[in-house]
Amino acid sequence: MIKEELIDRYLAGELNKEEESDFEKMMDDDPSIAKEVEFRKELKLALKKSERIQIKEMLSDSEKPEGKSINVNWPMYLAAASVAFIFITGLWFFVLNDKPDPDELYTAYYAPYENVVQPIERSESIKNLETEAFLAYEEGDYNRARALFTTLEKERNEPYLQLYLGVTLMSTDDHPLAIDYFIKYIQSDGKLKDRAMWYLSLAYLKTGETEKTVRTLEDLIELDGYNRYKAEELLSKID
Amino acid sequence: MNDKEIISGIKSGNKTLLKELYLDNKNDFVGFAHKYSSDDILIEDVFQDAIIVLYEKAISGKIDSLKCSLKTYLFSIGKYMIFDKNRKSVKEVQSDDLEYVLDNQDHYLIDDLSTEEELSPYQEMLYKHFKKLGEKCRKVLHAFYYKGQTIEEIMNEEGYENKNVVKSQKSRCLKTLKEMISKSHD
Repeated sequence: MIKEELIDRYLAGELNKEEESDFEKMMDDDPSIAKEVEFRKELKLALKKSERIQIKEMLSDSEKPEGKSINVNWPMYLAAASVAFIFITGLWFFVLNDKPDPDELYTAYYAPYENVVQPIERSESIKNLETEAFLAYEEGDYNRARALFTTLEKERNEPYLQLYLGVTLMSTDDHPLAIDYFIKYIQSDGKLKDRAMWYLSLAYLKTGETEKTVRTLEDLIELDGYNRYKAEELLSKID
Repeated sequence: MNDKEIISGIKSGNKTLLKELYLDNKNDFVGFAHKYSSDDILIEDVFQDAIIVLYEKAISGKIDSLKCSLKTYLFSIGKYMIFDKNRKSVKEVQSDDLEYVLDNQDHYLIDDLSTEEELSPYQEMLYKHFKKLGEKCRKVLHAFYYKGQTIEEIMNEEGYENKNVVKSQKSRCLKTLKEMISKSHD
């Protein structure tokens, strides 16, 4: 037991000069003591380094964007969007004066939805699949975004992924599948339900299901949210 | 939560508090540290190290008497580390306010953190086996060899009957660990 304690006290630097030189003599005489000292020293280092690495990882992780919170200032966003809308539709009226066909309407009204879920800082290195997916989406690389969102959607049961996957699918011209995801999202009663309805109506427009387009637009108008006026306008053009 | 509550929380092993402390003060620290360095990566790294110094000091039970606020303490450690890393004269720093805030243990931990290396292959292997030990063993060895607690402190905290029980438990755990390692090498 005495030997036990001496080893630990030696390692903790608790021995005085005299005790220390005595102990070092003991180590020279008995290699098994020296071996034990070495073992405990390594154990101490292993524990210390591992713990420090874990804390550093925890602190670094805490800075990753959560991806779940939607912290966009909606009124501002809508104001900007409506200005853009007035401009685009004005231009459109000027160019087309007879009754447009659904395809033209679709082209006039469709624009991929902004990424409001996971704001991306360009400097930040790609840290996870989700960031990567949104990055591809923002860069307009919809084929890649499609693959990544599909994987993510399967892995996690997060409704907002369905919305973005839907828009991505529209951008890669897979409207029937996009419709499925929008319906799923709307049924989950997600926060961005009105946006999903807007895109759903456009997807129906593209697949030639005019009746469904009309019904979805009417529902959207009733909700009185996102793109309500745009919906009324589009509706008037279809009828 | 005041500083005392945070410290006692950290002492009892609540690491979430470290994360909160880090996030709450990081932006302020970056602003503060820009006076001494423009390297954002270094600044972030240093602030993480400062949190570790605080943690290790807290769990060793030697932080009960901080001479200043927790924030000032963390910022002082960070400032010292930046000077240290910039290889400026440490003496120049010590003549500063730092001498008042930081003690010998702080300086020891700071130096220790700045010379930190990765785990050696042997240490990796040791840690891998350590994780496979039972909870009691892990606790006793962690408390003694990482936290630096005394046998008596471990006895009180873990509810052992007397010091000898803790001592023999600790020896048994070391022995088990060594056996696991030698078995894996057969």
